[in-house]
Amino acid sequence: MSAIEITNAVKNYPEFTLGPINMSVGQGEFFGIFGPPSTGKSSILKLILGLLQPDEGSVTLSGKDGAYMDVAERDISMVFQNLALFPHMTGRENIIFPLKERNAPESEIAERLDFVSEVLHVSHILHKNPAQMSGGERQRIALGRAFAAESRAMLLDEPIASLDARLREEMRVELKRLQRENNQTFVYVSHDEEEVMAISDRVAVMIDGMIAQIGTPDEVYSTPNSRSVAEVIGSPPMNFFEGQFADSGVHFNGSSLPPIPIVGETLKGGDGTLGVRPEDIWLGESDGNPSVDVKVSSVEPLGSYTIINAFLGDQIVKIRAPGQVILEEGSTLRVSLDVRNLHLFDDAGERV
Amino acid sequence: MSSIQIQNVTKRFGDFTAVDEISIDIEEGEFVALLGPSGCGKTTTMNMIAGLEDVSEGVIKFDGQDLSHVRMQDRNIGFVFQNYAIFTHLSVYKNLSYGLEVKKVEKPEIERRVKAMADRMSISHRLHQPAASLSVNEMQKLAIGRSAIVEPRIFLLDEPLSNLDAGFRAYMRAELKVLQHEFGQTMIYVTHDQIEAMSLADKIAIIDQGKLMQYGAPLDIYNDPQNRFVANFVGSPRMNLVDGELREEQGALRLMLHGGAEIPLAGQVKADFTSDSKVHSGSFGIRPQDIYFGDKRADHDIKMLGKVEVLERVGPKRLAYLQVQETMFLAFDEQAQLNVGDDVPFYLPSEASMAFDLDSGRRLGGQ
Repeated sequence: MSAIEITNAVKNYPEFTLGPINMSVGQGEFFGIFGPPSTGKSSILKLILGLLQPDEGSVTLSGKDGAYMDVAERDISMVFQNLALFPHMTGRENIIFPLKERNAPESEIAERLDFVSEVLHVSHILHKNPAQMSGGERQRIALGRAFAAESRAMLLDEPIASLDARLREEMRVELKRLQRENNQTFVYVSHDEEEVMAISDRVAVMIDGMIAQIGTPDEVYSTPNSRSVAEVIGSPPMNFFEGQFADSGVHFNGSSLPPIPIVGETLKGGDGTLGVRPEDIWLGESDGNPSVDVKVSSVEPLGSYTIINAFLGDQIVKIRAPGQVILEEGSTLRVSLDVRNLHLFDDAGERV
Repeated sequence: MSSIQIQNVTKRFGDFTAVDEISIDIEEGEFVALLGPSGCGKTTTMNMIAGLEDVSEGVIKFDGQDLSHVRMQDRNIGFVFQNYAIFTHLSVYKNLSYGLEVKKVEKPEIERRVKAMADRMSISHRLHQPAASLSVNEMQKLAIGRSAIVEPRIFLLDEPLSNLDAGFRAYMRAELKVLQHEFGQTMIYVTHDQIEAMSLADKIAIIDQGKLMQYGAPLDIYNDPQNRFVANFVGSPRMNLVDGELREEQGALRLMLHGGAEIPLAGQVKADFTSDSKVHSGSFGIRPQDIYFGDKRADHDIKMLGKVEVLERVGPKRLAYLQVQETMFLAFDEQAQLNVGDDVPFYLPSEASMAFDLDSGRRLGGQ
C-alpha cells in the first residue's frame, strides 16, 4: 500500500488549473517534486496536507481517503521554506513542541530530542533562541521539530533554499541519511534541479500544473520523455537543434549540423528537435560520431570540468569538457556528438 | 574604466569588525569576484568601493586617486543588485533611457543606445511594454542593461543572478561574460556561489570573517588553495577534507581520524605534512575526481577501504559517499560500478592530495 496516493486530482484556480495529478509515494520513499517556480508544486503538498481539497479526484493516505480526514488526523509534518519557529522558545522547546502538544511521556520526549539533535548537529544550540541563531541553525531546528513528531510522512517545501551553497550540499546528505535511518516517507519540493536529482529516489517533474514525468533521477536525466522535461533537467542545460527527420529515417538534418545518424527506430520525415547534453559533445573527432567546427565564445573553468560556450552557426552551444581546458576565445574547435546519447523530439515535443 | 587599489581597508560597525585589513589590486578592465559565505564582509567591501559606506581604516584608490571626498553619484559607478531596482510602472524603453536622460545625453544618441542594448539583451520586442509585464528573467536582464547602458567606469554587481532558476543562471553567466568583454569595464561581482565566481571572474577574492583568504585567478585558486577554508569553499562537489592527529611510529606517518579511521601517509603528501615539525593536527584534502577505484596506479597512492553509503546523481555523474569508520569520502563512480552497501577499496593518489595545518588552516608544503 502506498503511503500517499493521488489519483486524478484536479484543483481549479481562477487563472490556473492544477492537474489532473497522478502519483504514488511508497512507504519510506524519498519522493522529489521538481519544477520551475509557480508550476503547482506547493499546491500538491497542500493537497496531501489537507490544507486544500481537490475539486476532482482523490488523495489517499495509507489506503484511507483523505476526504474524510482532517489535517490533524492525517499526521503529516511539514517544513516550509520560511520556517516558522516560535521566537520566544529556545531550540529545545521548539523541537519538543509537537511532542508536548500530544502529551508524550517525558522519557519519549528526551529520547526523540537526543536522536534528532544528534543527527541534525544541533545539540550546541538547543539553549539559544531563534534570534541568536544563524539561518542554517534555524533551518535545522525547524527540521528537528518536524522530525521529532515521527509522523506518517514529512513534506518539505524548499527546506534548504535559503542556505548557503556549501551548507546546502551538507544538509542534503544529512537529510537523506536522516530519512533512511528513520525509514520515513519524504516528499521534497524544490526548484533546484541538482538538489532534487541528487537526493530523491524518484522525481516528479512538473510543468504548467501537470506532472510531465515521474522516474528515478537516472531515468529522467537519461531519457526525458519530452522536450520540456529535457529543458529543465540538467545544468548547464541541454542544447537543442531544430531540424528535420530524413525521409529514410536514418538521419536527422539540422541547419548548421552535419547529417546526424540515428541509432534505432525513428520518424520518417517531419520537423523535430535534436537534443544533445553538454557532456555528450566531445572535443576533437571521434570514431563513428559526426563532427563539426564551432567557434569559441567564452570559457568557464570550474576546476574539475570546463564549460565552453561556442557558436555553431549563429547558435550558442554549451559543451562540458572534463578537466581543465585552456582555449582562446574566438578560436575554432572541432567537436563531435556522441550518437549513443542523442535525444530526439517530434514537432509536438514528445520524445521519439 | 578604472583600476582600483584597495589598501589595508578595515570597516568597523561599533565593536564588530566587518572587514579586516583587506588589500586587493584590481586592474583596469578586470572582472573580479568577491566570494564568501553570507556575512563574510564581501558586500560591505563592495559598498565601500561604491562609496555607500565609509572606510574605517585604510584607503581605496581609483586609478591611484583617493576618492573618499567625491560624492557617490560623481564616482561614475554602475550597480546591479539582487533585488533589481526597476521602475515597474515605466516602459522597458524608459527604464533603459533613464540613466542617459539624467546624464543629458542627446536624444538620437539615447535612442541608438537603447535599441542596441535591448538587442543585446534580447528584449527588443518588449521595449514599449511596461517593465512590470516582464518575466523574472527578463527583469534581471533589464536591470543589467539599465546599468550597463550608461557605461560606468566601474560596474558593481551584488548577487545579480541569485533569484534566477538554474538553467537561466547558466545562460546569464555566459551572457555577462560576453558583455564584460564587449564593454571592457572593470567589474566587481559579489557572490556566495563559487561556480559563478569560477566561471565569470578573471580573479577571485575569497573572504571569510572579514579577512581576505586568497586572491588569484580561478584555476590557480582551485589547483593551489593556500588554506583549508579556500580548499573547502572552492570546487563542486567540495574537496574531501578529513581532520586528525598526526602519529609517527618507526618512520611511518599516519593521520588518525576522529572516529577511528586512519590514513597511512606516503609520498608527496607525507613530505608536505612533515614540512613543519610543529604541526601535530592535520587536515588531509583530496578532490572527489582524484579518488579512483580498481588497480593501484602509483607507488605512493594510499589504499583505503570504505562502504558505499549513498549514491547521488549530480549532473552527468554519479557521486558516491564512501564511509570509512565515521569519516565520509566523496568520489565519482565513473563506471557506474558501485552499489549502496558495497565494501570497496579505493585509492587516494598522493600527488593530488593536500596537507593543511588544522589549527591555523595553513597549507603545508604545496606548490
